[in-house]
Amino acid sequence: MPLKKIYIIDDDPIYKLVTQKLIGKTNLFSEPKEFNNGNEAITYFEATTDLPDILLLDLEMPEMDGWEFLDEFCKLKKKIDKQSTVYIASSSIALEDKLKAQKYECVRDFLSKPINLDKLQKIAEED
Amino acid sequence: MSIEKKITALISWFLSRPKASGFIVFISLFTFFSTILFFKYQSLRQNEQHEMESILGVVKRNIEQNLKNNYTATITLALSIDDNGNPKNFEQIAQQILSNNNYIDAVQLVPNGVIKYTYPTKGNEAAMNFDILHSPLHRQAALKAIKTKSIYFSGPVQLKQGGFGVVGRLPIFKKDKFWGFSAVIVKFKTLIKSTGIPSFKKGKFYFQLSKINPLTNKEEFFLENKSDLKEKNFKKVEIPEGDWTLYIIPKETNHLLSFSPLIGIAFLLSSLCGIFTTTLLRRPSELQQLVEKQTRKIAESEFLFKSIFEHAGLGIIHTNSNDGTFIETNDKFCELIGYSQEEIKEMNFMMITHPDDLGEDLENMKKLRKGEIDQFSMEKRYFHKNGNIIWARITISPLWKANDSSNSHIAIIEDISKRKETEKEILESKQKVNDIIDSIDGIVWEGGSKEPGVNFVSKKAEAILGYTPEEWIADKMFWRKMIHPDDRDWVVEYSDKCAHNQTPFDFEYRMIHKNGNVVWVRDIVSVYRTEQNSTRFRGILIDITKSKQFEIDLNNSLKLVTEQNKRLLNFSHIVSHNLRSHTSNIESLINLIEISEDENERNEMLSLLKSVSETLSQTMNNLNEVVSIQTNINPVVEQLNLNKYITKTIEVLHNQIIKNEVKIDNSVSDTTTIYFNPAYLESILLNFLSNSIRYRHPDKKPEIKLRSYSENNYIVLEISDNGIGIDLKKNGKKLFGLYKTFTKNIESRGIGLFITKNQVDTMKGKIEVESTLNEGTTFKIYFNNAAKENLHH
Repeated sequence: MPLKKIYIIDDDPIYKLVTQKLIGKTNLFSEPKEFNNGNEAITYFEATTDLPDILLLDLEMPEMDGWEFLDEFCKLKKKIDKQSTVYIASSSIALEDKLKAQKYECVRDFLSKPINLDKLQKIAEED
Repeated sequence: MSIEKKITALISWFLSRPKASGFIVFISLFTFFSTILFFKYQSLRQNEQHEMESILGVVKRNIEQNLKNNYTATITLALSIDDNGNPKNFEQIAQQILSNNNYIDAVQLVPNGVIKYTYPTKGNEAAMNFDILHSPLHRQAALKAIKTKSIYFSGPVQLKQGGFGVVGRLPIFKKDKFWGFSAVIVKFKTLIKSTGIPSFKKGKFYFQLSKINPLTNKEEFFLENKSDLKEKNFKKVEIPEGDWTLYIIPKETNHLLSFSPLIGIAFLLSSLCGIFTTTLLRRPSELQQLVEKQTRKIAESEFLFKSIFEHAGLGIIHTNSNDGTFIETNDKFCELIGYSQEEIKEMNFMMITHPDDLGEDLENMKKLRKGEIDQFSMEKRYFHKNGNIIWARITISPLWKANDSSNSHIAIIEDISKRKETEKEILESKQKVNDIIDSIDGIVWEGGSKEPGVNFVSKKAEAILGYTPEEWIADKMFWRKMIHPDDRDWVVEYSDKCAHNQTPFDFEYRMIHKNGNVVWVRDIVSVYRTEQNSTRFRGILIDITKSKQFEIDLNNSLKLVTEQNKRLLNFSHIVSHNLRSHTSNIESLINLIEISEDENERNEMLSLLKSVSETLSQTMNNLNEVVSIQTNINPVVEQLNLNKYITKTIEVLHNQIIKNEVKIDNSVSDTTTIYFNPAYLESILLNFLSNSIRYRHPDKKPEIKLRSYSENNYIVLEISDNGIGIDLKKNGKKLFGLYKTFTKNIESRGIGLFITKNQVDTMKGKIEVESTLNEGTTFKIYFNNAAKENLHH
């Protein structure tokens, strides 16, 4: 089973650090990359067309939040034509956010923080 | 009496028949004149007769005188004969006789009937020896003389000696033996002369002499006048000596003819009198006819009046105008007030008039008597005998002429009790309807569809809008004027549209009370058609100020609640995001520490845990600050000098300003004051000014402009910078959210504007923002000047 490429988009440095550590421990993912907000990620994807297999997306972010990123990303994904699954990883427990997430085709699931090993393992197994 | 009557009747008969009367006058006069003429005629005739008789008498006497003279002459002559029968001195005696008698032409002696002696001889020769007894012409006369032994005249005949004349013969007897005749010859002319007829000849009469012809036995006339006497008015006398008949005949045979002019005049006169009478009588007759006609009319109208008086459905009374007593009343009136005719005669109208109406009645009567009014009508109450009140309409007409003194009047009384009862009922029911309408808790109104203005407004108008219905109805534009200026245009437009479409409508708008207050009304309008096919509107204006106020309050509350809900939701997001992100980090770190076998790694995690804990604490503080603003419903409000606080803030930021070479242009007046919480004002000013510095444009020298002005109920503070600007399209909604940052600026915390917004909102102010990327941002902070009043209640 090949290792899956996973990228993280989040503005919380501690979260990103912890998540990187957890990812490392699973040995299921390769080349983890992280972005501070949607804008950084989109800019990168547009430039490189390097889409990961898994994308962990936060919602509350400065400059470009998760929703705005999704609008841009869904458009971009059609152009690039590459398998890439988005998981929303938010500390929000609001139902409306969960419902809104379901409307996006490219969103696979809505994960509530914190992210732990089990959740990462499930993500890896699903694909 | 009856004679007088008959005479009067007769006179009036004549008076009324002018033609007949004229004719009668004519006949009478004509008869009268005719009678007078007749008598005149008669007397004329009589006079004539008398004259004729007297003339005839004179003539007869003359004739008789002559005859006597002749007789004497013949006797004288006869005496001249002696006893022997021989005449003696014939010539002498004859001469003497003739000279004594002018009217004897000749004398003769005729012994034995033969003319032997004649004197004068001359002219009488032819008669000599004429035997008269043998002459057929004379024989009879001669024999008659012999027989009668007296003188007898023969003729007038044609004399033997010639000429025409009479012969008087006296038989002479000698010794009783016929001797012969002594005769006188009188020529006819002489005879006539002797009668004196010629002296009458030129008078009014003429004469005729006749004798029966002895031979023919026919009457012979000897005078030259007309002999036809049959139809003539004549007189005659017989002269026996000659068997003559003497006639006297008036020349005027027909006297009546001489009367004809008189008769004509009489006729004319009578006719004139008749015509005059007719003419004279015609006028009185015409007048008489007129009088009769008028009399008939009067009788008819009197009859009519009587029948009206007695049988009219109305009470009619004839009343003394001065003392009010009843002179005459009809049965209807008696029936109306319940008194008998006899009782009424003893009463006056004041006795049965209701005291409340008497004053007006008497006042009217006074005016009537003074001539100020011709007549009058009024409605008044009578007392029935049984005490009941009877409503009546009376019409009073005086029976005196203008300028005459008042005497009596006619009053017509109509029983209007039923009508009054109905009126009262209608009034009551109308009053009831009005009361109901007025008790409706809303202004009921009615108006036409074409013209503005109303024709009815219920009394509630005064209670709801402070204006009386009269004030409302008087001004056609009242309603429009009373509408709140902000609502007027659309309300008028809408109602006009509905009026045009004739659709009922129901809408709410504001009006201004007389005291200036705003009154919210709901106007429910229905359309209906009148019988005249015109469209009218009826509506009810309900005062919904209270419920509207409730609604507004409710809306405000809803807005507030929604706002708060939004804030709460935001807060829950804040909580969920910020707190949970920290707790989840803590959870993850602890999890990592547990599974970590590396000491270094564990220490690293612990230091991270510490960092998270600090951030969490900071977040908790921030949230506390927000909560304190949001829960502080009544923050202290003071009158603050705006410029003072700006200056203070600039001082606080002094280092940054210097460091970044910020140019601050403050044009806020020193006198501008706002009602605000001092701590909030400090926080707000610090937030905006530090933001302006923080988000300065990297290529520009930062400039901040401050100015203030008042707008409506707000004092507006405008803070403009020339910084990087905000993409409002993208971030407008999130601008004032917690932990929303839109820049990569590491100093962005996403809390300043959130708190600022909360503070301004709490003070009932508002914030507006205008921004262009790379050019700058202008924030407008609206400080509510009514804050003082609104906050301290």
